[in-house]
Amino acid sequence: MDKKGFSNIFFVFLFVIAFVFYIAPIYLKLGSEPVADGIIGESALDLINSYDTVNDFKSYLDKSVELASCQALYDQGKNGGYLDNKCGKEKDYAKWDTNCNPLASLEEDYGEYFSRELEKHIDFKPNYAYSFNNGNFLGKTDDKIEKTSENTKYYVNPSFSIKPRLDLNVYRDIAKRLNDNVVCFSNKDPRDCVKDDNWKMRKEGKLVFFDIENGAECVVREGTRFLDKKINLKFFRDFTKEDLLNIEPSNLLK
Amino acid sequence: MFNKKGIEANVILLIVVTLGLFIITGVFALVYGVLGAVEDDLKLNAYSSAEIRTLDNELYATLFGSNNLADIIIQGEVLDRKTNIDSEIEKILARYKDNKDKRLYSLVINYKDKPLVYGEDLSPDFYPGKIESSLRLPSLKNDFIEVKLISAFPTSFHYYMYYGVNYG
Repeated sequence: MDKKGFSNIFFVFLFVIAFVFYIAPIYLKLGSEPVADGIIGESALDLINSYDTVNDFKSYLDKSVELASCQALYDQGKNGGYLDNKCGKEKDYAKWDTNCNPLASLEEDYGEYFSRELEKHIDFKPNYAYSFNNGNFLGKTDDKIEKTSENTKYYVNPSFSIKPRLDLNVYRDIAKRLNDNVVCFSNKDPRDCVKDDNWKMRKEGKLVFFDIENGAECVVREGTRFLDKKINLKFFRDFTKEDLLNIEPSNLLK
Repeated sequence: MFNKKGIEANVILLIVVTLGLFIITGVFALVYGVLGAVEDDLKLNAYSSAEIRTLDNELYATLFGSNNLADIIIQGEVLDRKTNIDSEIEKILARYKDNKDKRLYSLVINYKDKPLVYGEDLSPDFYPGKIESSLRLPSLKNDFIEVKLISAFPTSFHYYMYYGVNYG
């Protein structure tokens, strides 16, 4: 073999060596099977992110429940505690008397007000069973809401519990104070009967109109406007003889 | 003694071979770069996911922390509470100023009628390393209010410095 032929072969050989040298890592990299798709920890992050999706949903639900609860208390108070007032109305005040008042169905009516409001904030319709327990208002359901985060499906139970800003027993306390002072209300200025700055009272004949203010404050919808308002209980009572006849004698003697 | 033409031919061959080797090296460097970039993207995606989670926690703490920002935001859509919202969010964004990572932060409240942007407006696409976390709040007026916490680097230099130094 002459020198030129030898150097040509040498260079060709050099190219082949270089090529093999360069291509080998690529071949090894592409030929190796990955342990898992993506990288280690990616699935764990997906799972954690799915928890976040559930948390976001729950925080949204909690806030919706708060808003619905406030509006329900406000609307119920404005309507004298009734859902459907069957006892009569005077000047936009619902009537209370001994035999016709909202006390027996306060919790049930609050649940109805609440349910109507909550539906405005949520786009699902779980079959809630409402109840009160130790002053907390509970919405329980066995329904599950499906939430999807990337490829992970999660089923959330939208049950909730909230402490309403106003204890509904306030209505019963008010009724008791009225019954205790029924003779006083029928004869005297109502401000002499109950000395409480939160009780705004106006007497017109035998009718006494009550606006009882509570510390609880909410942002509520009033028609098309939104207002930051205190929850007021608004009703009137007729202290005529017919009503007095229904009062227990022990209260009349006070 | 030496064949001049032979020497010239060999020198030319040597130059051609050297150039050839340079070209092959360049081509393979490019291939390695592409393969490496795919892997780096995967790594960066995972880092970003972890950082988004941190941002989620930040947003959650911001909204449901002691200052009741979520309530102020919900009420701010229907009542004149802009001053309250402004001062609360200013306090929150002040915490992120001059951070070690040199990231920019922005808080966006998407009211349907009047969207509000606090901090640097990071909506343009040119901000590198942009990550965001969003959370929905119920609205008294519309369907919902969306609140977003967005973070990005001011320049590519800051972005590469951050990932180069921390994860390179």
